Amino acid sequence: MNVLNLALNDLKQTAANKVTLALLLVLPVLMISLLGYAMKPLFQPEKDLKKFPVLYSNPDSGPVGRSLDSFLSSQAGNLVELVPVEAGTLESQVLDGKYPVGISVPPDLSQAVSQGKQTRVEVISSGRDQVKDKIVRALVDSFAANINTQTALAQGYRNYLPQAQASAAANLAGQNLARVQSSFGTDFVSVLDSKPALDTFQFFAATMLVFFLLTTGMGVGTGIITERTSGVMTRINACPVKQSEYLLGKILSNLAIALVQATSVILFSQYAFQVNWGSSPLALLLILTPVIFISSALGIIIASILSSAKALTSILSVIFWCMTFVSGGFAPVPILEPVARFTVNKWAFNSLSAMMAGGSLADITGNLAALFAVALILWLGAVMLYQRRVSA
Amino acid sequence: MIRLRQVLKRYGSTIALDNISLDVSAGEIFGFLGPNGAGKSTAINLICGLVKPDQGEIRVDGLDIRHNPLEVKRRLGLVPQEIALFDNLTAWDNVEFFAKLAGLRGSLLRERVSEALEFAGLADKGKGVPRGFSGGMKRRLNIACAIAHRPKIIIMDEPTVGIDPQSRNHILESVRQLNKLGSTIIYTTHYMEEAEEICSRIGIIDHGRLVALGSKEELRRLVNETEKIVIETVDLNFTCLEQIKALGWVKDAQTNGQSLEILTPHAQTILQDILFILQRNQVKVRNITLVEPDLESVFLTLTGRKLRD
Ligand SMILES: Nc1ncnc2c1ncn2[C@@H]1O[C@H](COP(=O)(O)OP(=O)(O)O)[C@@H](O)[C@H]1O
Ligand SMILES: [Mg+2]
Repeated sequence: MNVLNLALNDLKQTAANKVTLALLLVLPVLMISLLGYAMKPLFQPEKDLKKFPVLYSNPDSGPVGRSLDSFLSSQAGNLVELVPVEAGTLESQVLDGKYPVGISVPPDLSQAVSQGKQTRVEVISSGRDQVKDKIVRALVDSFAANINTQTALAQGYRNYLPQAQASAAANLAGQNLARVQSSFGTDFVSVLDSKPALDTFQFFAATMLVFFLLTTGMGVGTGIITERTSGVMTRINACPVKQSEYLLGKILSNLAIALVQATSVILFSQYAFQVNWGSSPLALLLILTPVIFISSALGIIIASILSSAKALTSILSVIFWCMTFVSGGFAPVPILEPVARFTVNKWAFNSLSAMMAGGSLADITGNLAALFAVALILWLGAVMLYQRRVSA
Repeated sequence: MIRLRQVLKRYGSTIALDNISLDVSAGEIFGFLGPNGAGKSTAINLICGLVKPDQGEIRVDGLDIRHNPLEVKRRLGLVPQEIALFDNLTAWDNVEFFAKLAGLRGSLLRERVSEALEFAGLADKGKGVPRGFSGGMKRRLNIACAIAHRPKIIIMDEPTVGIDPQSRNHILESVRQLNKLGSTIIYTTHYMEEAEEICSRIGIIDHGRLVALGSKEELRRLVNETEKIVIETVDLNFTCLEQIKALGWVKDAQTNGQSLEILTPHAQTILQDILFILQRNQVKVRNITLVEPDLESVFLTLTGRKLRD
């Protein structure tokens, strides 16, 4: 009950400060719009397509393999430039980032097709260039469809002579096609990033949401410092209230404020920029909650070390801006990629963008685990430092 | 009601409270009187469980504060020395918040909040925010926040510092009234007039030590033998002050504007000598009075210092 009273009182104070309240709701939306428009060119794919290299491994010397060779080098020759490689090295070369995409043909392709067995040509992608991925995939798909149709027809004609009823043949061909169609298909394997590229507004809606949720921790920190210096904290301590209740109240009010902010960002971006946040509100909640906890823990930690609200705001601003910048939240910065992988922003962003791309909870468990682990560690630190300060 | 036994509190190398033992009974208005830095706030913080003693035992209403801090706090209402309010919340919300923390709910809560505001003379200011209040109004709201739950014990730490006489009288009057309504009161001040005016018992505290404890009368009796001679003059000079101080029997001599104030156990005996010195220094005397000792002189006698150095 005390926790609720304390949290409610915090919210009342936030609501009483109209400027803060307005900033809390308007600033994120403004930043998303500004960055979204300003950075648009960075996110647009190249308009005219140049011929690009594609790693190619085709150990199948049978008829199907040969005809894929000729299809890719003649008909598709103006789109792709085949770079032949050993089957075993293809994936690692894509991983190295030298080539955006590769095609790997199984050695028994012809044999499998002729026997009507399942087989697969793999398109291996780094996920860096969605357009090239799609082109290669479309080429292989259309080749597969072609082969499947021919196989189906061939099987039909094997049993029925040309003189026989044409309709029956066509009929059977159709049936065969339905059966065969699945026998030779393409597998799309992404070796790095499974996400399709986000558009500019999706990108900034996600990074700014994370950034602004992190900054809510400043409210917790300044709240604690102000209450300490104004003597209100002494007064609360003279009431039958436990320290833990005080901290819980702070978390609760921060959680409420942050969730209102998140909701406003999500609804606004959905409405104004058609940002799709995925189909799982639960997943969103699971991503955002640890971010909010990380932010309130940082607020408490700094408030336990410092005695000035101004100093706290400056330090936390620097921390959050740096983290967001390094993680590429204000604009993608490829050279910082190795460092970015260790930022809270990146984990949260990766999770959010996975959900935006239609992923499910299973796709983000790794990032979620990292977020929750950091939240837990910071909270342990926060409680420890706070206790030390209070008993000093 | 409140019981301190050999309580000692250190801050680093300073001993803020040195081996204090005292009892405050139910229904009392107990005063801690002492100059700044004497240890009054420290004593109060210890009783409220805000700081832990290095030694000794503190009991409130029979409860040991170490073992039942929350139960003790339920019985207390603290008016802190510094004004401690939420600056951007209304007066009503301020009082209500602390009343809720003390456990009040529903219609009783509303009733008591309104009662407390009325008590503080802020009935019509419930919707105002402290930012726009005068110093006196803030002080009164500071009190209202501590009394809405009608605590058994109300602890006030220098509640009249820096305010106009009107607000001050209002506060002193409300202390008496709260006491009549059944609360035991602990009141700290460095104004001896205040302590004399409202406290039933007074503990004089200096450098963390309790130098005297008792009712006004008991304390006066401590320095009973001492009288104060006040001599109003026209053209006082300092050579005579030195000469008077050098006389036997003079405990202390000070100037206060054109007045000479002399503390002595034998006023009649040395008055002759004093007048002789004044005459010799060509100081004209306008008036001579003998004053009964007040708490100021008690403090002076016990510590050799004035209350407000
Ligand atoms: N938190 C603290 N840290 C260090 N010293 C303190 C602290 N609080 C009080 N003191 C010291 O303890 C002594 C008593 O202070 P205090 O109880 O505030 O006196 P009073 O209330 O009578 O003016 C002073 O010397 C003061 O400097
Ligand atoms: Mg004090």
